[in-house]
Amino acid sequence: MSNTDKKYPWYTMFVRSGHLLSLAIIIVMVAGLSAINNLPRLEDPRIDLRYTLVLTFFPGASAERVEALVSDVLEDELRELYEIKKVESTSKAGFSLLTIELQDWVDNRTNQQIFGKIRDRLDDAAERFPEGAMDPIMEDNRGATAYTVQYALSAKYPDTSSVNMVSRFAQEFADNLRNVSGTEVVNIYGAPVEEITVSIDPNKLAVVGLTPMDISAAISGADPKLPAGIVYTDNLNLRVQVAQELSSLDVINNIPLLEVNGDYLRVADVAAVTRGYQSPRQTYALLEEQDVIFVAARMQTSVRVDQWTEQIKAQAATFEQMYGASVNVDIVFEQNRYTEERLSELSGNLLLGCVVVMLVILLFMGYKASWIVGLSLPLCAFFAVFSLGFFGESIHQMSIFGIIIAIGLLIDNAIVMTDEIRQNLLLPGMSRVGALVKSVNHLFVPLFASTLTTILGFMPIFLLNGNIGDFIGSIAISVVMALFGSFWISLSIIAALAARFLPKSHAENTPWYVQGLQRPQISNAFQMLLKKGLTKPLQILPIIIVICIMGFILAGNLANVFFPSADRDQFAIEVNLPVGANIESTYALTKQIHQKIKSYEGVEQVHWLIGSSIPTVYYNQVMNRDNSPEYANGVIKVDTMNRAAQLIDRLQFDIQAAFPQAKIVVKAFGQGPPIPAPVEVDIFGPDLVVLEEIGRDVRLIFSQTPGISQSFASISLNEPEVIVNTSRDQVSLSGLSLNDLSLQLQLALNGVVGGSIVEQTEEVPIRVRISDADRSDLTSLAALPLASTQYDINNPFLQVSALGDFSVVPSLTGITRKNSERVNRIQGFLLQGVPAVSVAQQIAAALEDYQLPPGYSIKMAGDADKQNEALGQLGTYAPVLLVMMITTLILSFQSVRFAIVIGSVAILSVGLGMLSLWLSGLPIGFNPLLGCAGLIGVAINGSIVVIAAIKANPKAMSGDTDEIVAETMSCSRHILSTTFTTVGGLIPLLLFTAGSFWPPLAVVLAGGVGFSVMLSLVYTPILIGTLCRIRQRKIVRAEQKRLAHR
Amino acid sequence: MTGTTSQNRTNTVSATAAKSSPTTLFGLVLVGLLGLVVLMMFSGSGIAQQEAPPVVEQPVLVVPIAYQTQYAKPYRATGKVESNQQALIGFENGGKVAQILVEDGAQISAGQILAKLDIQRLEAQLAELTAAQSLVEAEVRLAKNTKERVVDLVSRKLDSAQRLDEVSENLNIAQARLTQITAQLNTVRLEVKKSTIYASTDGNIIKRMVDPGAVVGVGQPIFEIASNTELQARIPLPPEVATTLNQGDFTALSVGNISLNGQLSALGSQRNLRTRTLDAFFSLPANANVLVGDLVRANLTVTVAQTGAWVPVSALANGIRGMWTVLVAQNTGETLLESRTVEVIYTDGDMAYITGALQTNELVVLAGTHRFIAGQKVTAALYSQLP
Repeated sequence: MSNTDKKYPWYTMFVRSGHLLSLAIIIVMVAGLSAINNLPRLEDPRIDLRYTLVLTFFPGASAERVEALVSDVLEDELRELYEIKKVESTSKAGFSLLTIELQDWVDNRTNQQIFGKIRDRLDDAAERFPEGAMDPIMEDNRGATAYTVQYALSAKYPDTSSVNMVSRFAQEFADNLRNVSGTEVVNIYGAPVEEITVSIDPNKLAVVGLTPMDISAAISGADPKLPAGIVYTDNLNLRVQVAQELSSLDVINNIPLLEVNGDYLRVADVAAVTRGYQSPRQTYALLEEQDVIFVAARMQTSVRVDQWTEQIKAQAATFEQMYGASVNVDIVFEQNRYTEERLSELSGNLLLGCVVVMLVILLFMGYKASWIVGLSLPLCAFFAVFSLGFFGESIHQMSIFGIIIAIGLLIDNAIVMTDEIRQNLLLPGMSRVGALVKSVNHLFVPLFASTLTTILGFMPIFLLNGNIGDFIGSIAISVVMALFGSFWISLSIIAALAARFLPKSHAENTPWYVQGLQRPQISNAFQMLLKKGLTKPLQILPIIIVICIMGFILAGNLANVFFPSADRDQFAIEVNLPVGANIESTYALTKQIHQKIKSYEGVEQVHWLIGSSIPTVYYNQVMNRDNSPEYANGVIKVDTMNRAAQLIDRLQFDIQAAFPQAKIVVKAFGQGPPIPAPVEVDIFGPDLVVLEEIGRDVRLIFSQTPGISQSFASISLNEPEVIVNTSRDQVSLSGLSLNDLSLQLQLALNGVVGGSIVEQTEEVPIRVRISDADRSDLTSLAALPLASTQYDINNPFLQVSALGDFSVVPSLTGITRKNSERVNRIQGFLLQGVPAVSVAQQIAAALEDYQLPPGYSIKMAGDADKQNEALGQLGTYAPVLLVMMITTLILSFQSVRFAIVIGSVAILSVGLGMLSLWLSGLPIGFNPLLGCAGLIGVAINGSIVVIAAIKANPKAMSGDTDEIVAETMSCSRHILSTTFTTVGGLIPLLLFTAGSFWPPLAVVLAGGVGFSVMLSLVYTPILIGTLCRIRQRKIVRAEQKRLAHR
Repeated sequence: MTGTTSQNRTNTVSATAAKSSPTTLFGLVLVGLLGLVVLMMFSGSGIAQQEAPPVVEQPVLVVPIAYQTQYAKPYRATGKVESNQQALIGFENGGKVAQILVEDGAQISAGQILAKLDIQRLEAQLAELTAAQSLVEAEVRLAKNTKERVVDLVSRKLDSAQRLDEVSENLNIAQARLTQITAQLNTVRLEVKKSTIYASTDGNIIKRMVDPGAVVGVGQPIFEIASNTELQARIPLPPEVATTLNQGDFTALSVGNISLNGQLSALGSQRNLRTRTLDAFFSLPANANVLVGDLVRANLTVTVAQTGAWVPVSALANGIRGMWTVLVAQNTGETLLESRTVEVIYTDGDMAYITGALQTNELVVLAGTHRFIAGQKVTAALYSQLP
């Protein structure tokens, strides 16, 4: 290469300096590899924390009182904060739960401040709480994220070891896990609350005239935990301690209660003291059939999941070495496995894509071109991964998803550049550098226009905020950076490589693998046809347009599954007994259900949490059930994803039929924002009874809608409540007041806590209550003796039944509110594969004729709502970006007509994508929508290149048919290469990937790109040719007129 | 790209010779199109357009109800074991306690000496009276001898009749005095006897209230004794329950883990104001291994005459204004559910005795009413037919 005093443009430095070229390639590769090594790696993107929960206990209050005195007060205080988007509250008997959602623009940098503000407001509100209500507790670490690893601890010898022992081991284990660097939070589930129970025989107590309160006071009084002071002698300061603290059960047994004539009545005389746990338990955890305690850990976002999991496993192994003889440590779930599977699947696809690219280019352009283009794919991918780091993103399935969408676009730029240089090199008298300069000059503007247009097409996703933005924003980042990288890599590195290494001329019988397949017969035939078509545009164009429009029309019949399913080998099951059922019966039922599930083929592991939501294994699971003894939640793992798809519906039917006393919901994991149910109807209004009635009517409509498996109402009156029918006169005859009566019943049944035992680091409280045998049914409750001021030793037994009888009435389960308005949320769950939006539309249609009383309104929520939200957000910037795209095109080509042609190509290609989707029968949703965006990029790229070629040729611009045909032919090779590589590279995703996440996307991309070949090679030249001829005729006529007027 | 164009032009000329090229082109294009279409149709593991999903018909278990005319209600009561004979006993006199011969808890038999008072004073009186008795006995002997002598003299007309009367009456006086002293002596001996407490029946000493050496008053209780041969249970019952029991009926009672059969012996006649109950007395069998003061439990069943039917509590669903409803299926198989209002007469938490808008043999939904709504289509099966 002679380097005379010719002035070369700066962008030829890569081809002139071999060192620069190799260094550039090495830098990109190293950057990419180091990014892959060091970037945090997760399964799913971490959604910024915008939720927080506020729990308030108000023991003894009814749901209405909790609503009026606690929930309402909290909502009023919080209403003034503009950072809060929505407050939902649930008020149950004794308990209030508020869910606060912050605005979409809040992110991890601002949320802690806002949480601080909320905490202050909560403290203010707590001052206005009534007597008996406890302080509100704010829980802000239940984000929409799954736990990364879950362990289950169980006793090795369950018959003789107590569950308290396992609980203490679990706490030790949790502390060990917290010490691993990179751990964000570790939580324990299913552990009992340890306590010492003093179970009183109420009749013995009545005989001596004492109450449980007296016993508790005696125990607390005998617990000298207060320091007694310090004696300051001349030399020493001596601390004084009164006696010994309560240290064992024996000591409690011997605490004296009464003294008569030197005889003592001791605790052991009227009660049994046992070491146990708070009964009934709040939660039970099961792994297979064993009682376990779950320890779940979550990783920070700045670490790699595979490395962190290794460290955790090492820590667990150490723990097992030390304590494994007493306690079993089993791993229940590790996210790392799924991440590895997902990432290796995707990298496998990328690799396959590479191979396909190289093969196709080999066929079309020869072996040298094939490895040059083949190199571009990894280079662009590495560049994209490297740039993720600058945006604070990690490697997860969304960022890789973006790269896959961009595959077609990446190689397109490289193929176009390579082909252009190849053709230019074949021109006689062209130097390598000259070919490079010519190609870059010719292609810079078109490629820039196409890249910029595609980037603008992905901008709405990039600019999304809120939960959706956090989740899919990384797709846009990957695509945009991949495109950007592909643009400059193609113009610099690839162009340089092509200019350096491609053959400058072909001998007559160069083998096919050097110059690509040449089939002159085919190309000639095509040329002829194209020529004919150019002369008869009105015959060809309408056909093409009709086919594309058909695609839109046919796609209207497709099902709409906006958020695709997650394609996982796990799914969840929920068991709901009627509200008011106790946890023991739920426990027994769950064990039976478990056995039935295990009888199915392919089920590998099932684990359960009874009493509240199971620790999440998937990012959009919602942990929204607390304090629910009638509820059990399980996660079933099967051997393959297909098995999961088969079993979900079967289990729903079979298990519901076998256990009719409970409401069973079996549901698959799906992508999308965390929502409690796919279909939801919210009824707003003031009166609870009316809301409940309307709710029942809506549930009837749900039951008549195809595809709905279960429906739930949030306001219902099904919980049975026992009322003691007595009057003030009756109780005052016995020396009590109504308040005394309730207080005594509460103390007897729930107990009172006083005093504690300290064992090393554990402090175990002591609770005094009546024994389980005496509080287990209504007959025992009726026989419960009460204490009153008129103690009569001859007749000490004042039974509850003497004051009145019992009646059982239905009462409110809970009151739900949204933004301070009472709402009855009717939630419906679907059979598998049923599209939520279609079902929601059916229900909305059925509700149109429903007459609502004045003051009440109905709103749809669930998937349909979220879809509207997502589309709305996407559409916010759409007009601006559309205008920017059109402007780019117009400026690049200096012609409005050409811009319109390209615009029409974009629209028609989407029609072809929809046609392919219709052919495949897959549903429309978010993935096909993304696919369309990618499809547009590839389709207009082809047309832009053809237009650029025609524009560069003045004869073609004047409408010369032959020239137009020739220019089109010159682009045909790389358009066909792009098409074949895109379709070929997506074949694994089309045919060999199970599930419904990848196939719709792949169908739209592959089908759309495949069919839009005719747009680039037929539609565009014909249309351009026609336009050029029209313009030419106008110019000629104007010229003639001018000449005539001379 | 003029070079390429001219090349192509030359090729065009030679191409006219190869007339088969359009068909090859068409063939290739057709193959390509068809291939693409087939590829599309087979994507995604062939998830074809779904048929409309079915309306899910929930399965439900039903059971026919049967009305009865009465129902049994359990009632649990607690009382105490008492002794039939339980008393506080003491001395009939006051004085100082000299000896206590039994301790708390001792077993005693009837007639056993339990305690003694100090009888020194009485002994002194006894000595005094014994001496007086000797004196009077001597006087009687003298009077008797004197009378015999005078009778002899009067028979020999040596003395007056007056003298005879004098000595006869002197003898009478002396004898009367002897009787008097003897009676006084007996009185003191009685007092001595009454300074001892004897056990009146077999039994136990519940409590000893006084120590030896204490000075006690008349009637002050020294011991509390209880007969252990006849124990009874005093159980307070509300009158409506008590009246259902007949005297002489046997009832199952339990003391701790021991089960006994108690026979109703008496019912109290006055209602205790505070607890609103009557005392019912059950006599316990003689060999019962229970202690006085033990808590005794009675599990009674009260039969109430009211028409109704038993259903499990899980069959109840809520209705309006605090009323309950049950769901009724019209027949087994595919059917619609109806809601009927019922009233709960009695429940123990697991089963409920109800009456309401129901007829015998109607099919009531057994459980899981929270899954259903009135008017919902379901598939009903009889509970006993469950596989």
